[in-house]
Parts: sequence; structure tokens; C-alpha cells
Amino acid sequence: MEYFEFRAMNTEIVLAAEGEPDKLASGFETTRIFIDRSEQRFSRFLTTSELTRLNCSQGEWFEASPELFEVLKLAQHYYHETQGLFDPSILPDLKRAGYDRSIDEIRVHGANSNRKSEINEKPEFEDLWLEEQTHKIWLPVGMGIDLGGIAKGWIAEQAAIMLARDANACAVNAGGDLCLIGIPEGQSYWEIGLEDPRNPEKNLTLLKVGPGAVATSSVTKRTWQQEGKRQHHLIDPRSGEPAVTDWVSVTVVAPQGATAEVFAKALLIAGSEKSEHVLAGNSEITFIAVDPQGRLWGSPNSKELFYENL
Amino acid sequence: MNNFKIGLRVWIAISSMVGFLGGWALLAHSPKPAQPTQPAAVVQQVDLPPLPPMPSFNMQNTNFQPLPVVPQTNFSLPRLRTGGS
Repeated sequence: MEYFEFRAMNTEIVLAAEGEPDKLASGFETTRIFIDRSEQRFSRFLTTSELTRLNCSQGEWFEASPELFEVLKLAQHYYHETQGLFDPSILPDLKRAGYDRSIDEIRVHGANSNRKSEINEKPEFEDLWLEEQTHKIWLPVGMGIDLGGIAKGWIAEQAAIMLARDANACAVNAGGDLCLIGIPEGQSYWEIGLEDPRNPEKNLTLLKVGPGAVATSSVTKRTWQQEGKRQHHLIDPRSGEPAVTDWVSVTVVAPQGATAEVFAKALLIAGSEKSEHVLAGNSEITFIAVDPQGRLWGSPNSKELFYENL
Repeated sequence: MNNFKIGLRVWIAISSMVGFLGGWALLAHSPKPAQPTQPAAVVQQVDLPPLPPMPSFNMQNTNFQPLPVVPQTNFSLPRLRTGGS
């Protein structure tokens, strides 16, 4: 297995692939360029990104690239599928909670104070209009989009598909959002470490995962202090505040990258009581939740992910 | 000088042979170790305390299951990990 690591999207990217060395080197470089360009397109922290331009186009038609259009179309689909727990239009709430710059900048300079005066009635995400024929988007006045809960999973999947053209088996890990294609030679699954959300230096256990996607959402990552209060980046759309949940992290295994990332976030926000309602019998999704004591909880099919000690 | 070398070799050969045969004779006539006539003392079986109960399943939703995974922290960290970002 060959590895290629770099930093993008404010996180660590790991590409892993098996195949002919010359083809892998070319595949790694092509994939890195794709991820860098995707960050230029989807980041809300870059003033020149396509998403920033969309957010500045409120009340007007915006001609989008096929990539941005596809991700927003997926976002609308998952908004309905998660009964609104996944909602990319929480950007105003996210900024109010202090996450108005990249997490690297917040860690250096601190977060802005809570600006309650800016709380206004905001439009619903389903009011966003997508014109399929022309790829035009109409963003209602007062709406701001953050694709942080879906774009990374989508990018990881597209990057893995790209890398797979030059590899026999490959994996793309975008800060814990993984997309896996094929199986390493001589193995019957990929071995993925499940990080302990209370101590990222350690793993809680190892998971056996087949081709598909894995994503984790955690309330211990991307945290900051705002007016003496600890905040995190997972906004509960029902309250407009950082989610209060009885789980520390949720890991989802699903066929697609976007599905895994969206449901990891939605299940973490839902917590133990509402999770089954969010899943709504979706048998394609396997999840594992970690509670504050480090105990693991999961859907019945999650036992297949563990080694024989279960 | 040549005679000295020959004499030295003969002396080394004879002293080695004498030393070997002497050691053999000494060990052959030494007392044998006592054979055990009884099995070794049996280790007392200790009653282990009962294992703690499984974590209580306090979710309202009974379709989800607790996963009693023993924390494994002694393996090397694989490059492919998931933990959020």
C-alpha cells in the first residue's frame, strides 16, 4: 500500500492505494489537484470561492458549476431525508456561535462575541430554488449556505473514484471522512481505526469495513471559547445553537460519502432518543456512537464491523 | 624456537586431555539430583470477583444495542482513522 499525505480543507488528507508505482504517483497528483480545486470551490472561508459568490448572490439567480449544483441538490435531498436535522442554511447561526472564520484562525485569534442582535427570521432551506435545466440557483435573501456537513464526504468519494482509475484498490481519508474502493490485496476488508473522541491520540477499537464510505462527527473537534462558553461547530437547526447531545461522536458506514457524512451529523444532533426516527429504517446505514464514558452504542448491524471480541 | 613451539603444542594437548578426563570423572561420580517423589504443590484456585454488569440500556429506542468493546489502545495507529475533523 502506497500513501500520499497533504493538508487541505483545514484538515489532513491521506490517500492510500495499491497498484503500479508509476500510475499511483500520477493518480496521487491528479487527486491532490482535484481536492485543492474542490476546496477553492466549496470553502466559505475563501472570498473567491464559488460558494462565497453564491452566498453574496441573495435574491438573484446564480449560475453554478455542475459540481456545486450537484452538491446542493444532494443537500436538499438529505435535508428532507433527515427531517431537517441536516441543514446547510445554518450559516448565520454558525457565525453567531463564533465560527465566522476558519478554525485555524479562531484558534490563533479567538472567536468573536455572540451577536444576538443579528438573530432574524431566516428562510427555510427548502426555499432555495434549483433550476435543473440551466444549473441556476436562487438563494433567498437572508440565507447563507455552509456545505461543511456534506462537501467533504462528497469530495472524498469523487477523489476516490478518480484515484481508482490508477489503482487496484484505494482509499481517500479527508479528516476522518473516508471513501474506500476495492479491497487491499490479501485482505477481505479495510482496517479503520475508530478514534477515541475523548483522546484523539488513541483508538477505541479497529473496524472492519468493506468498500463504501465512513464518516464521523464529533462535538470534541472544532471547538472554541465564546464569552467563556465552550462552543462547537455542530449547529442544531431546531435551536440555532451548538447541539446538546448525549453522544460525543457518531460514526456512520454507508455506501456513499455524502450519505455517511450527513447521517453522522444528523444522528449526533439527534442523540440516542431520536436516532431511530432519523434512520427511519434506512438499512444501508450502520452507525456507532460513543458516549461520554467511552462506551459504544450501535445499530444492530454494527457488530459486523468489529473483530471477534464482540 | 621450533622445539619450543612443538613442546608448547604438546603441553596444551596433554593438559586439555587431562582436564577433560578429570572433569568427566568428577561429574560421573558426583551425587545424582534427587528425583521428585510428589507432584508440585497445587496452586490454590482463587475465586475471581464477578464481572461488572453490562452497561444499562437506557435508550428509549430498543433497536440500538450497547457494544461492550474492550478498549484496545496497545496497537499501532493505522493511517486510516475516523474521528471527525
